[in-house]
Amino acid sequence: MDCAESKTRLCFRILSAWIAYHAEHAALHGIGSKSCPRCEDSCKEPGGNPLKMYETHHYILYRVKALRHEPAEVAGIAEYFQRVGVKIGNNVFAGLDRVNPADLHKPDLLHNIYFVLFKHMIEWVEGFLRKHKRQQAFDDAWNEIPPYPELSVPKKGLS
Amino acid sequence: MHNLGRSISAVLASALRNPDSSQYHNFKSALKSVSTLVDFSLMAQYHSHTPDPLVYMERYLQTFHRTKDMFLEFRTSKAIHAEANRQGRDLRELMANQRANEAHHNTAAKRCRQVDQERLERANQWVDLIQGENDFKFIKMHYMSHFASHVRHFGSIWMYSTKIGELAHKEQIKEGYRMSNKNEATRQILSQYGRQHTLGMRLQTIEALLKTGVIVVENRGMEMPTTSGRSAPWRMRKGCTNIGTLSELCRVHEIEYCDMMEEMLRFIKQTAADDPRLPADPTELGLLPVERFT
Repeated sequence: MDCAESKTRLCFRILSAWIAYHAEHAALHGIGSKSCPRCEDSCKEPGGNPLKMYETHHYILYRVKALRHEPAEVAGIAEYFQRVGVKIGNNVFAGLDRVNPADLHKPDLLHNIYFVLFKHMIEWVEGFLRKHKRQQAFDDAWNEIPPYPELSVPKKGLS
Repeated sequence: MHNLGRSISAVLASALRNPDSSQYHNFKSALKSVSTLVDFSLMAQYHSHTPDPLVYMERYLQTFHRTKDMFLEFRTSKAIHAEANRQGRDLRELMANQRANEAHHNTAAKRCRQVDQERLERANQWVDLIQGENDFKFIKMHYMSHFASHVRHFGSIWMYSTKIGELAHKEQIKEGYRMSNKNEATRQILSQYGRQHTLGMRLQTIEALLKTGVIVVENRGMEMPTTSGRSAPWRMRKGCTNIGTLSELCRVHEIEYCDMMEEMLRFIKQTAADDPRLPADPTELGLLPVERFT
């Protein structure tokens, strides 16, 4: 690469992020739909224990295991992949130089927080309000939100 | 959903005000759970972080997980609901058969007590099943535990949001599909966005060049851009040696003669009385040499 100081530098383009939502990452990484692209063992209890630290997926090792295994080891390797939440050993990113496929997954605010967690939270809140007969109070307060810059006023209640 | 995150804590606090003694702890936990989740999401949207907000984020997440059990009974999926209903139906039939067998031994009061007891038993079984099956184990809940470590290693989460790409769906795909004839729409969608994008870029380029005075817009009829250097009519005539009158000028540059006349008459009317005025007759104007207009 020619630089401004009239020197030619050797550059390496390194893939650092692959922005996608979970279903796409699951397909690209060859993991189960309930598995995390970063963590091993999380498929059994995703989100169940927030304080537990899991091992990071070692996709390079999976690739080596998938490509160079002996025929007698097939059952053992399949069991190993199932245990760590991987469907196939040969990850599409595992062959790239200087790339750790586990680092390519990035948290996505739109799909993670807004489209899923907030949606779930609203369902929980609706159920909670229904149980305690506070729906009407919530809708009244919701409809009383005054206009404010960059805040659109809700046109109808939550329920 | 953005507005929801901004206002739900306050609205929920308003809705859950004045609890009685039995509701107090439940309401407090529910409010704490919702507000910590909202705080976590708002803090995750920071464009830059210092160590303190990351510690706050982890604390919010821990508090949310500590208080979220209040909502466990509302995490029931359709499958669990169906299973609970099926088990309840089976138990009701079994109890009804038992009651029918023992009916001739029991008095009416005893049968009523038995029915109430069976109803209570079915309700308890339903609650046990729901509480046993419900959980918060889904992958998006797990992802939240990676947010703080991700910021430490790779920077702000906002940089990797899919929001911009998702918004592009509307302009690049949905509008293209709407403007197509719905028959083999893929190619039409691609060409429509390409066409729109190319035209947009072209207009921006022309606008930028007009500002710098590099080009002059021709065939506008209504506009004569004033730029530095030689006058606009001179540049328009450059290279055209056989232009003598205004009508020939319009013909060479493919300008509508009537548009040109309209502009000329407007200009003549605005000219001050002491300046040398041009004739107001269009026929006379058309025969004047073009040098009179420089």
